[in-house]
Amino acid sequence: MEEIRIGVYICWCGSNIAQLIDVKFIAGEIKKLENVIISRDYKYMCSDPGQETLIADIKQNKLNRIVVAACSPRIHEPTFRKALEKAGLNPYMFQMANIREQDSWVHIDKEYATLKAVALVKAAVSRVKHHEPLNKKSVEVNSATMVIGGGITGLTSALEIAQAGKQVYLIEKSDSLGGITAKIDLTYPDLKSAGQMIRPKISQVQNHNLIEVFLNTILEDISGYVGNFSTKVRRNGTSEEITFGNIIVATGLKPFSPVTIPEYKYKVLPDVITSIELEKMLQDGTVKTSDGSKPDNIAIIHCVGSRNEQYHPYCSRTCCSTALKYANQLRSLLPDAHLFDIYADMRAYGKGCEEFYTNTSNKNIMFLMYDQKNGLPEIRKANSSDNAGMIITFSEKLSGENIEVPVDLVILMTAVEAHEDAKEVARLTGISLCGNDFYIEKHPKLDPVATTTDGVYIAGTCQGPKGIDESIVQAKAAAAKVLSMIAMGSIEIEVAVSHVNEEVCCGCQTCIMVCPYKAISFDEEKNVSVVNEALCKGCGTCGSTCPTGAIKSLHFTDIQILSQIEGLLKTESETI
Amino acid sequence: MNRVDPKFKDKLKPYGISDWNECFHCGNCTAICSHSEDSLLMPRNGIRAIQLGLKDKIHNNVDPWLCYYCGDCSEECPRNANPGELMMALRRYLTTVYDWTGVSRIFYTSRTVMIAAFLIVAAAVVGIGAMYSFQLEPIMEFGHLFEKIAIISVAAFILLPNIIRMFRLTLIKQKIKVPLSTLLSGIADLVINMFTQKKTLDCKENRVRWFEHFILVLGYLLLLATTVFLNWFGTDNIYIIIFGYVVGAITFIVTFDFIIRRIRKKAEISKFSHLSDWMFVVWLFLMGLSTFLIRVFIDIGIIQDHLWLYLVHLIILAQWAVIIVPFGKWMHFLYRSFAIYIAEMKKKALSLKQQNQVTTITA
Repeated sequence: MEEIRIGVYICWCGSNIAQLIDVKFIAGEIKKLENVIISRDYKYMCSDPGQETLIADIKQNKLNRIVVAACSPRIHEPTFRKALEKAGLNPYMFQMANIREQDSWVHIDKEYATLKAVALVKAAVSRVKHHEPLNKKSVEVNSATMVIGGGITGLTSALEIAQAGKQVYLIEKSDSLGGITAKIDLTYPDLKSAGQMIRPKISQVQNHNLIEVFLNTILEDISGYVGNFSTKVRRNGTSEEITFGNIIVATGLKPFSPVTIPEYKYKVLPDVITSIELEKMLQDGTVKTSDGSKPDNIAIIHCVGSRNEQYHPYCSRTCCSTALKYANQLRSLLPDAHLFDIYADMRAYGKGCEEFYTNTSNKNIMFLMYDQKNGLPEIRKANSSDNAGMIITFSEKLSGENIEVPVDLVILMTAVEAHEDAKEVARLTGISLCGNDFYIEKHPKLDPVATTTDGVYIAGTCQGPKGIDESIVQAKAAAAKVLSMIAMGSIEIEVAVSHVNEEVCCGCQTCIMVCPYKAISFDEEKNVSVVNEALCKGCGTCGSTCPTGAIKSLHFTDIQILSQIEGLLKTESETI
Repeated sequence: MNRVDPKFKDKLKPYGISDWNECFHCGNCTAICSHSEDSLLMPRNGIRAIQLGLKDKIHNNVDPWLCYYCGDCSEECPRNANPGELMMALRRYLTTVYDWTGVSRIFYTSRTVMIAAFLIVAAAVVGIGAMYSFQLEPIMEFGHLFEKIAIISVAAFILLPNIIRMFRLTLIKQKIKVPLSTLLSGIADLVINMFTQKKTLDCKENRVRWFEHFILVLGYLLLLATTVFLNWFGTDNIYIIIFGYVVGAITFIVTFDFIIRRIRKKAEISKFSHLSDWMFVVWLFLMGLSTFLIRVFIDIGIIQDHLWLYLVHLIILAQWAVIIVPFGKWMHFLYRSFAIYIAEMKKKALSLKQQNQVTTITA
């Protein structure tokens, strides 16, 4: 075996580390250790001169192990691994000691902080001795994509990918394409026809030779990993298998049902309707009450099921602007009707929407504010003397008065909910849901359409309530992500994965039960577990559960972890 | 429970030029208003009541009368909703609400009727002149008698009933119980406020305006007293004559300044002028000037040859007495001071009620 030659570098991180920790002292202490050839301190190890020093040292002194004591490995581990590669070393022959977040930033006592830093670096030195070179692996990417959901988001993603010349399988549960967009009359704030927007998209999708549309179809199972998925789809009682490299989930939304809100008497009073029901009337061109007469007084109630702990705590984001759209449409259809807009807070966000609000407020619409803290508006049937079908009563916030509003028709701006199939699709694709059943993105700001499962993307209202414009932004973003993956042809996969020693494996399958990534399968013939390296994230759960010690987590082997602990404990007993 | 009325705001349109819809209730006007208190959110509260058409709330409240139109709210308003002018419009509207005859509503909402009424009164005066064959002395005698009759009848049939109506709407109908002793104890303040308008001084930088207004009120009232009760046009008493000149001059000089300001439109208070505002300030000016000139003509002995001047004065006086005083802006003189009195009574009634509640709880 070759001689172990370790280089240790203590970073000052400007003053972040050096002002509390005596870096020179650490460098001196570490220099005394066995196998440590070089021990230096430097102002910024991540800087170009810092990296160049490291590379030069490796070359000149034939170093074969490197330890950098600096910030969190989340920030600069890739930087230093790259430097090792440049110097001709395997990048895994490296260990980082975090003496910033775990030490200088969280302590105030200089002496103890320095001793702790010495311990952390000694642990890293002790560990790095047992590192083994690991080689990069890659898998080929199947250039087909499966899009789940045939609403405006799914259609847009499918078209983007097909127009780039790649195969798309578009899966839709219902018997038609278009989703919610096909059910609405006009869009806000421009008051343009939603139908004229969605119909060309549907026919483009249906006529595209690279898009295969599966209507009335449900997914039975999805297996595989990024670049190589396969699924069984069932339509018209027959099952068929398709394979693809990426998945875009666009399962969309479901309108909240207000029957659970007693104050609004939905389904009790016939002239209390939901926004989707009004859209149908608007598409047909006539707005009427249940007895077929023209309503003289119409109220629109906002936040039905939104921003209320009892129903949904979140803002559904589209309803305020949609309500303003209704006010405009109703004003044109019924010029003499009295329109009441009963809102909790007017949140007409987005390009052109505040202007839309301003314009709408000049159309003789009475805006009334309620506060959900003081209870919801209550709708009751009117008496014959009231000269209206119903009466809405509530405490109007801006006047501080309890008021009555006479109405003939009430429109409830119902909340946006995650689709009822969201949970099932999450289970099939291995992605996660937030508390409100919308899908969780990999990073809410930096990676909003990716998920924690590689190769699975989310777009549109399945990720959270949003309008058509934002759904399309996400649809195109997800398509771009997929296309860039396809363009690469193959992808590098994690190498610090689990490995099963087939000689030792007893076939108990405990590892299969605990794996959160569905990365382990069972080889019936050999009676052993098999790790799919493309799916494995190297979390180590299987390794620590395995009763026979057959599973080794690469780069986190028992000896590596134990020697790290040993290095840590040894320091403490010697110095304190 | 108040029922909203979307049509109500249209009824208010003739009373002011502002757009009720512009206000989105940020509250800047209330924050800047010197008269605003926790229980009195001026002027926002009034604007909201208009937007919702809460008629009873507007009728029952005297808040608009507590505003002296310093204009701070209009300057601060981010939406250019002109809250100051909204309050002014509410005062015009409330003037018609308190008027039991309903005549002021017609005058305030129709320029045509208003101008026609002025012309009819002018024609009537000319007719009376003709009845007396355009002889100066009998006409002057008639004019003097008319003044007295007008004062008594307007006071008895219009001013008093309207004030009672105001009380009924703002206190009695709302079942606010004020002990008699409290009612009496406020009367001194009522009189002081009526003749000094000292509440104007609560508004910022209003001292000059208050002083002008104060001496105008004083000048006008004393001019009225001098002509009616001291018979200024007929007296030989040199002190009364000089005194009349002074108060007459004050009246037309101050009103001249007011007119110039309304034309220049620099201050918020002078920016928007309803026909009723113009009529009030111009007629006051003409009254002061014509009275002053008549006495000048008497003193230099040419009044006999200039009967027309007295006829013109009588026309102005008659229009003032039968239109502007009972059905126009003149009434603000009374409504403002009574509003302060009523607001004070309401406040006292409320604190008495709270005290009683406290005693009930502790007992």
